[in-house]
Amino acid sequence: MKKAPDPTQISLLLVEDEVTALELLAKIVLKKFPGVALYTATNGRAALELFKASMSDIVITDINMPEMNGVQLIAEIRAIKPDVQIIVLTGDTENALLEASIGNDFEIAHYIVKPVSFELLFGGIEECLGKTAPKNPKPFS
Amino acid sequence: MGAKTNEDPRTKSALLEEIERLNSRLDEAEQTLDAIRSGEVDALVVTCPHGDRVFSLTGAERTYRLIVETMNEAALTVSLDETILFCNQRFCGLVMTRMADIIGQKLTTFVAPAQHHPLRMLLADAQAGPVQRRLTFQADGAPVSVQLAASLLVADTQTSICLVASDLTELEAQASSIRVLHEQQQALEESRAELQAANTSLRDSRRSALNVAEDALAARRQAEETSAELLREVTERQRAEEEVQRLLTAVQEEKDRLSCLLNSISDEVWFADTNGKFTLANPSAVREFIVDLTGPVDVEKLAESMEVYRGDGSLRPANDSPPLRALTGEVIRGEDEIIRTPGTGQLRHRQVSSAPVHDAKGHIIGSVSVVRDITEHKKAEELLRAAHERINAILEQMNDGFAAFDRDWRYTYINAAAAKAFQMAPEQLLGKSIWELWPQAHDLPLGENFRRSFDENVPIQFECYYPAPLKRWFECRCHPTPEGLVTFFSDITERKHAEEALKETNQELETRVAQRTAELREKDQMLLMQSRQAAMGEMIGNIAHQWRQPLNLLGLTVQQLQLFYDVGDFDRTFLVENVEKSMEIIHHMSRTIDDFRNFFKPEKEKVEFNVQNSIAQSMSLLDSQTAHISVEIIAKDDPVIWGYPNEFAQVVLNILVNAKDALTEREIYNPEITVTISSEDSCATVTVADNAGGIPEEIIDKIFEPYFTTKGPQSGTGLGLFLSKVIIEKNMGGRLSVRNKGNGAEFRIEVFQ
Repeated sequence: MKKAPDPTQISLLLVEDEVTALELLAKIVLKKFPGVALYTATNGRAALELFKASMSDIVITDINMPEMNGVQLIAEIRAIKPDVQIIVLTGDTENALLEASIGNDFEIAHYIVKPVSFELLFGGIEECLGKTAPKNPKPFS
Repeated sequence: MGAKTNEDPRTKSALLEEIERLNSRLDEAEQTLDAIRSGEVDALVVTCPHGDRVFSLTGAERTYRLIVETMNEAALTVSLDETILFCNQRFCGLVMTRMADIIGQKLTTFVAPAQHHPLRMLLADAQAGPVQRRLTFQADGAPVSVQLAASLLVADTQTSICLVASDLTELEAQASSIRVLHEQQQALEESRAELQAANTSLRDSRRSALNVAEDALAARRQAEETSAELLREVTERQRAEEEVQRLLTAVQEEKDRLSCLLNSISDEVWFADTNGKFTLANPSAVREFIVDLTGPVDVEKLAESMEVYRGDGSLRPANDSPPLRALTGEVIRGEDEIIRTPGTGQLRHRQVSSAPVHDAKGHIIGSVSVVRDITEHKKAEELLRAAHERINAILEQMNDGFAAFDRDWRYTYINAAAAKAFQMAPEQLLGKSIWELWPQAHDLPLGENFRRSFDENVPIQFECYYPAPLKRWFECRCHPTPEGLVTFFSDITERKHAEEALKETNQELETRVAQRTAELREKDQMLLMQSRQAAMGEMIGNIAHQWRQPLNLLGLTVQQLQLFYDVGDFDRTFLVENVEKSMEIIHHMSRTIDDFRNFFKPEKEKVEFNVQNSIAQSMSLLDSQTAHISVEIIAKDDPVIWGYPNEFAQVVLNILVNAKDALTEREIYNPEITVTISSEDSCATVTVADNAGGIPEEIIDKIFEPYFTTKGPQSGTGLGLFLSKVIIEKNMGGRLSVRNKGNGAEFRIEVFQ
């Protein structure tokens, strides 16, 4: 995904520490939304660096990750880009980090529990896309 | 006696006189016969007991014959050539030969050969005038001593010699008897002298001896009258003599014994004569008083020379001495006196018995006193009395009751404590039978033990309860004694009550302890259950976490099919690829659930298992949580140990989780866990080391204690390490320890192979 950012293209950052799941999710998202610029990272720290470069419109992230967890990541990117749309994917329903994130009012758009339902994931992405100011006249189909 | 002794020779001479008289009468008769024969007389007058009788000459021949035949002497006539012409029957008797065999025989035939010469001398002498000689005839071989008188007989045509033989055998026998009597009498005289020398106390014996002697003399007198009787008397006299000898021996023995007794006894024996002087004292007396008894000692003076008291302590006058009083006929038995004797110089306590001594006629001839020194006896009595008093004092002051019984079970002694315990005065008990006073006791253990102690002669100690009216518990010790039984007892009612109370308290305590123990066990079981549930919860959390990822992948894969189908990119290759992926995920999940199930499977038996495998199992359960931690497993050896593999894996998992938690909590930058497996000297060792900074020293000693946790109440039960220690050390006989090493903690599991 090392291509120059297209100012008109919607940018999406996918963060997941489980590589198999990350690759499968990326493949599915691109199949569903071929027009988005998709960036992927396997930990929070890498994701933050990537976000600074891509200034993605939508960030889909796991919470429980090494290096930097999802909550820390969200706090960082929110600080950089306040209107970023965030979708959380989590397998840990009892995660204290998640509770903290909710308490911090991170304005998380969608909260999706693993195993991920396509309906919820795709609906969430679509909703985020709708909230994102169109950068080019050609809408997603 | 002396007078009688002189009668003996007279007896002999009397006999000789009688013989002379008889001879003279014979002479007279012969002369008369001669006179008659020669015609010198016409008649003769014979003096008879019934008056004089006149024998005429015409009857002279017959008379002569009659005289010759009836005379007591043997008579015969012999010719000058010694042929026997005539003999009377008496001669036949003397030589024990029939008359027909005598007449015509030579006289020498009947005379011992040695006497032939004297006989011839006699016969020759007789021709000159009448002669007498003692000769020995022979009667059937036996010698017969005779006095032979011979005279010449001239008648008509022939001359012969007339012989008259007097048998001397009896006479000699009598003389011999008289001689024996002489000797006996001398012996008797000697005996009498000995008797006289004998003790006056033996007078009776002597008298009887004298009587015997007198009897013997009387017998001897009788013997003088007839020779046969004399012989009998002699025999009796011999017997009497033997009797006297025996009595004398007995008397001597008696005397010896008495003397020995007096010399050996420790009692003093004193003899006083009627003059009030001691004439005899035994060695004990002499020793005590140092008196010289070679001469008489005055009783009164001896008494005056020393301190003498009566038994009651008053001074006793010298003339009141028992030996003196006995002389007046008084008999004193066991009178006490206290004397400072010269012997020991000490005051001696003595007991005096005195009695008068009477002679045969009942006259007092002295007194005998026997004195026994009872000082030691008195002292012993005093000591005994003092001991008795002490014992009584002790018995009376004792807190224990004391009672003594005789062999009929009557109380003979009761001390104060016993009387108090029985709630009676000693007088109410003494002399009465225990069975009458305490009828219930007979069938109680009390009575049974008393009787057993008495019957079997053994001391017995026991506790017993006596019901109303006493209603008390007693501890008794009874001891059999020669007199019966003694018993000590103490009232232990209070103690018994206290014991009962203590017993109840103990029982109550035991019940409470049992209850509390049960409660604690229940609590322990609950905790164990909690711990197990917590572990279970953790494991379920692990399962949830473990499965979330594959479930997510599975979900994505399945939904992808529909997505691809919808966009028209679905084909068989894609389908097969995704079904394979899905099945792989499902198999993985299936294995995972098996692992968990095995981990929680209860283990009842020890088995051999591989340590590496067990650790791999633990690691697999922890994989998903330690993704960010570098876990290195160093297997130096591949040990196989004996025990519970799942429990062992649980321990390893506990330690790994603790390490992970510490690493996570402390946000270690480069978290590392190193698991080392080694084996040495049949001991398998597993160390789990981390770099989380170690355990603070102040709590390192407490981490194996139950309920100790550094984690918050939501995550830690405080039982993980405690149960781990229990599993390794109690269940598997190994050791679990911890230390800080390098920049972290190192747990060490050691289990014997």
